Amino acid sequence: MKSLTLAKHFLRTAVYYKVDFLATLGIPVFFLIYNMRGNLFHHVSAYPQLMMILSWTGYMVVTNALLGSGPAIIVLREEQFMKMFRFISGSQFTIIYAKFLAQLFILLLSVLILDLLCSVLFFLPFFYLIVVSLVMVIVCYIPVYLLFLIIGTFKIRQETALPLINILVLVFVYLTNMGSDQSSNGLLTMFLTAVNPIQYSEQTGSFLLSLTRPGHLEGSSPLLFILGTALIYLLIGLYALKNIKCLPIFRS
Amino acid sequence: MEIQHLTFHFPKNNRLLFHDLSMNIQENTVNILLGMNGEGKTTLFDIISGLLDTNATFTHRIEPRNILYQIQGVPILNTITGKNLAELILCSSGQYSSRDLSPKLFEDELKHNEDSLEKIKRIWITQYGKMSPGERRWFTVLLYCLIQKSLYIFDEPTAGTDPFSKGQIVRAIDHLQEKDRTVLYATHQLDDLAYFQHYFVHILAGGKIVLSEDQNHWMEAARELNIPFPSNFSR
Repeated sequence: MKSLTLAKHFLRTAVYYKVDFLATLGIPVFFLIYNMRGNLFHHVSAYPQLMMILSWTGYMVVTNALLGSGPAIIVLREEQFMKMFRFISGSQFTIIYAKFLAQLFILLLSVLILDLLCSVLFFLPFFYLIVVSLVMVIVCYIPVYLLFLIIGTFKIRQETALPLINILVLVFVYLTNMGSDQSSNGLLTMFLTAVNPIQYSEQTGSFLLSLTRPGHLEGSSPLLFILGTALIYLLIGLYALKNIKCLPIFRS
Repeated sequence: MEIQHLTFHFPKNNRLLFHDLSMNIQENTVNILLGMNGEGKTTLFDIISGLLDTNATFTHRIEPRNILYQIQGVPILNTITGKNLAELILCSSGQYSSRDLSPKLFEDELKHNEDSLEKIKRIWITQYGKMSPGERRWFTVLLYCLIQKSLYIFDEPTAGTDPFSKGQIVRAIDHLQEKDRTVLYATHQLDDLAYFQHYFVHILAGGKIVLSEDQNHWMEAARELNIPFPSNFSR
């Protein structure tokens, strides 16, 4: 109940500052439509298009996790919101959990809109797409969110948090492109999967997609490697949770 | 609750903020903490509330989950109404559900004063950005007072408010001691003290609590110690 009240407040704030939706939903919608404009209102092979949609879903997982995780915690810490509500709610974990829930709700809604739009525009199987996308979001969002919590332990000011998000997104997109260009190199793909959460999410999506297409598992990272990466992200997140402070840096 | 042998400096600053400080917080009453800017009143509150680790010895320490710490200047979304703010503060405390929310909640706090209750009804439907600074502060403090905790920390709750709002805010806090709650209250405004029925004064200077006296004796003790306070203060 405590977390739901705070999550409702965070959702209200997110709706008030609408500009974040441009980065998390607007960009994927624009680039998907632009890249697949030749297939608009045509029945074509679904698999490459589904892969592209899942790739952008991976981007959405990462941008939403970034916006709701460590950098957001820094802003809440520096504005003293963490300090105030830690005492009201009794624990700073309640605030972090509320932020997690609010951003997950935004992500699920964004994925639903993206899938619905793509299904209509490209005649794709909506229910199949939404099931694969939602499973991907549920599997990837928790580890990626926890990974970015590590940023919340950094002693940086809130003015630094936004540029940091932009830089990280650019780096991850660059690494994803690099991984796509050299997808034949197994070791490089594995390394990029481990350090790049977009690639990790994309590989998870690819794996989930291949599960529904018997005999097409060769293009996916091994399940153990995906699980191993998730475990590393989770461990980093647990370390971050233990070390997040709620005092702003000017008071500590 | 008692603190003893508190010695503290910030990690990146070698200047000792507190040097073997001791303080006895009187239970079930209002403890006023006075001190010049930079003496470390907020830092002392951060230590008492468990936000900063120190080597101090605590006796009968109150757990952070039983403390309510009011902070100034936390940005709140301008478009939320008084009701939304009440929901945010009261429901996130876990002590209220959204069904409990109504201006009637404040009847006891306001001692059934009709004028004040009418004002609350208006604030209830007013956006936070359209409330006056005094109304915002008063309403927020009232919400804090509705949450049940053992220790309430107020860090300059009347700073920047007009005399009327100041009176409303302090009276709301004063009501806490009628419910046998312990209050820690930092201020630079000595006229705040006039609104409290009972209080105990602690003066922080040079890294120590140099004076701890009740409302009847603190001024005299302060004069003896040559601690400068306005001479026109009377209580």
